[in-house]
Amino acid sequence: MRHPGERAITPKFALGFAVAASLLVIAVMLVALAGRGSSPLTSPIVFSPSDLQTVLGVGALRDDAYVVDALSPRSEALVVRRGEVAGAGDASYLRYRLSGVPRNLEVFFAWRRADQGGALSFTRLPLVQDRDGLVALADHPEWGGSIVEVALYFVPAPQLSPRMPDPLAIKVAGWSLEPATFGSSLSAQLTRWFAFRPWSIMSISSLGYNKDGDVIEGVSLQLLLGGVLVVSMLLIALLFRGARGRRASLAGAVLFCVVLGDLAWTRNLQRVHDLTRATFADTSADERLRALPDGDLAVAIASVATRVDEPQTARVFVHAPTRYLSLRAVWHLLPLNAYERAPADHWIDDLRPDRDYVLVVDDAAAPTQPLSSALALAPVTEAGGVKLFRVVSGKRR
Amino acid sequence: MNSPVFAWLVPSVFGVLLAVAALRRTTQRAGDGPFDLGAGYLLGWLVLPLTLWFTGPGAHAAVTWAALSGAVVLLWLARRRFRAPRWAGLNWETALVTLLALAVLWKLVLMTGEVSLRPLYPWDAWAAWSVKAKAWYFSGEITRFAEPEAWFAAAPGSAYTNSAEHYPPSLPLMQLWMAKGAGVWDERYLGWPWPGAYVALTLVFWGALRRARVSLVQAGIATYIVAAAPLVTAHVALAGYADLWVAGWLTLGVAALAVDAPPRRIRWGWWLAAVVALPLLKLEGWIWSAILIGLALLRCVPLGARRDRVRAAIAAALALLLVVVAAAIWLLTMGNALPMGLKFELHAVGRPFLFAMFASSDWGMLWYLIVAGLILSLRAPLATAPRLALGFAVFATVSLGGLFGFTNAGEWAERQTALSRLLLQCGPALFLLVNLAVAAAGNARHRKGTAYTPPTLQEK
Repeated sequence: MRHPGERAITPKFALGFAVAASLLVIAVMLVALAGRGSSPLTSPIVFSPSDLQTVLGVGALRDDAYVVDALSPRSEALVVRRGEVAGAGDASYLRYRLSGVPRNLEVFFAWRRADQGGALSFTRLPLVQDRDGLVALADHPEWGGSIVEVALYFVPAPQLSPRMPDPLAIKVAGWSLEPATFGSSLSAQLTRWFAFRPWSIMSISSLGYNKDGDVIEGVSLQLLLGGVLVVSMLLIALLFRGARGRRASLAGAVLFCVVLGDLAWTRNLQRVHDLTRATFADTSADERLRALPDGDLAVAIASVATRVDEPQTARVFVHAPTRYLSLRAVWHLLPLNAYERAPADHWIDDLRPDRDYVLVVDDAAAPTQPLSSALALAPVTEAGGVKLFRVVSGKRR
Repeated sequence: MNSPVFAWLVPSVFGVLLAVAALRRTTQRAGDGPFDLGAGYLLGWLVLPLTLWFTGPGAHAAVTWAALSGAVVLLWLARRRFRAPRWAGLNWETALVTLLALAVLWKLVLMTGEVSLRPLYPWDAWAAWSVKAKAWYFSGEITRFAEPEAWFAAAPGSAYTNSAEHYPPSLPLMQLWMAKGAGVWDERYLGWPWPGAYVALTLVFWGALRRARVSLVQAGIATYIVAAAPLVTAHVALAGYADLWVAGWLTLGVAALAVDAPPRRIRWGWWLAAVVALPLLKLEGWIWSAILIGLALLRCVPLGARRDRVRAAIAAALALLLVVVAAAIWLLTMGNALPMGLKFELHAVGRPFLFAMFASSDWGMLWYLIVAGLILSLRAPLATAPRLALGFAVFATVSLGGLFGFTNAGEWAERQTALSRLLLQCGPALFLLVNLAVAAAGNARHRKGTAYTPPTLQEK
């Protein structure tokens, strides 16, 4: 029933208007976001795959692309293009096209400047595959001057499984340095929004931050869509004041923004799950242990823990360089009764000889002094950088 | 019977049957079925694992068989209460809602895959929560977790220690339940209750909106917005934290207050269950329980006449004064030591709040719409749903603002390690209230033409 003074708009028109308004606002905001800047470089500098060589890992030129077939023993690869690149320092963007990069690797663009000795500078590349990605170099404080060497550096991503696929075929299909244009600026923004984002320890608390605790995006997709939603809602509210189809139109605008954001998130979730499947599907308990981000620690602790006598009543004090390692050690030691720190000073005299232990993890300095005039530490065993000591009477070690 | 599937099914089915049978209703209305399913799941996964706290892990099999026997009785009691859902026929509204449901279902498949393949990943999942479940599973008893000094002084093997020794036991008991049921300590099974909690939250949210006669489209879109919020899905995929469960119970408690579904004793039953459950899940559950009590008072206070409103304002001012005086006495007598290991400190947290709600990738459009809905609620602030929405927003802002702005917890907000998780706990509940308020306002406009009249939820 229509009320006096009330206009009617059909649901089709309302939805169409909502989508059109949202698209218009998106276009305006993208233009505003992309900006343009300027750079002395006028045309792209394209690197030929035939100029590349691997310094870490094994690679070769194959089918017009440079392919890395194997990583170094530390799961790294460094693909270098040596020699001065005229005018490179004037470029504003790096365009790159990669494929076959395991999602638990991080990729960095590295360069060396003539005026900075041998120092290498790095910038992390958002991981996009099988399509062009762009990253702004001009924003980096160390980019510029005379560039004498450029490289792509592949390294295992911290906080992810170190397990790499076999066989490996990382393809560097192309890369170039580009001037600042509207298109490159827009592409760099889109690369940031739609690049792969793996889980990190921070993911459970906030998805807006990366594993280092840095904000991932300057202007996030969510902020853009939020802006679109607010402007569209205001437009609809003002233009269709008193009209019957206004609610449908508002619902359309809401749905449009929500679905767009959700598509991007679900796509990332799918890729995250692909990595999880590749890492953990059809694995034995032992393989799963090794595939943990701290798999080496887990295996080492499983080995030394068997040397603890009377495990039901023993206590283990963990000495590690970071709180993360300390807590992980406690977790892997369970059901052994472990404490995440070295014994407190006022506990020393009450430690129990032959029933209390100290576990030293990683590079944490192994204790060298007697604990007290009556107690000392005696080494029990060592595995994978983990050392187990037993509290003993006297100063024997 | 050692089976993770069986272990997961027992609390799920028991809880749902308890919700359907024991809390019987005389009439069925749209949304009752999903609401009961969701609420029952939450109840089952609180009650049954909690029994292990009293019986010890060794009694897992006995508790399982007792629950199954109870389930048979409940099934008999509830035999007339199961009805096939009515299909409204295919039109653009049902098609849209079905599409949105399929999108959520696809996410659920991905998240369940994550949970079922990945060993525990996020920090507190293993460092604070599962550490207890693992200790209890292998020691075969509910061994005490003590502060370091008490642990060091305790008899050998009688206590464990970690920095979360004072956390409530419900979560590790859920994981203990799964491990005992599976008959093996396998981290891939520990997170199985979390996808169910996600479904439960979604069903309670949807069910509550439909029980309040919110339109199919609005209920569908609103539910989708909650279910698609990235941080909500992250808490399912990276199972092991309590925040999703808190969100589910808080939404349930708020729904019980805000939706006038008959009979009244059931409504208050769910509200009371939420008030009790929240502190059993997480330390800050006490705050949410207090807010639920505050909302119950707000709901019951008559505000129709001017004299009532003046009285209510005086009561609120007195309550605020009481809180301020209590805080002053505490600070004067106890010094800077606040409960839960907190200290009094000033932090500027406005910017982290704004970032978390509107700019980070955590929430999709949820907080934009909550703010819009709250602004709309101001048009009739005394009607039931807007009153509860605005009341909840004020209580939550004061609580979270106080926690992060005036204590050392502000550091967690500045580093974004806790803020969005607290928003996860209250966001769905607040969004539910906002939707009820918006729907009530829309219904009132529709009934009365363009003149707006404060709606009431007493309609049958």
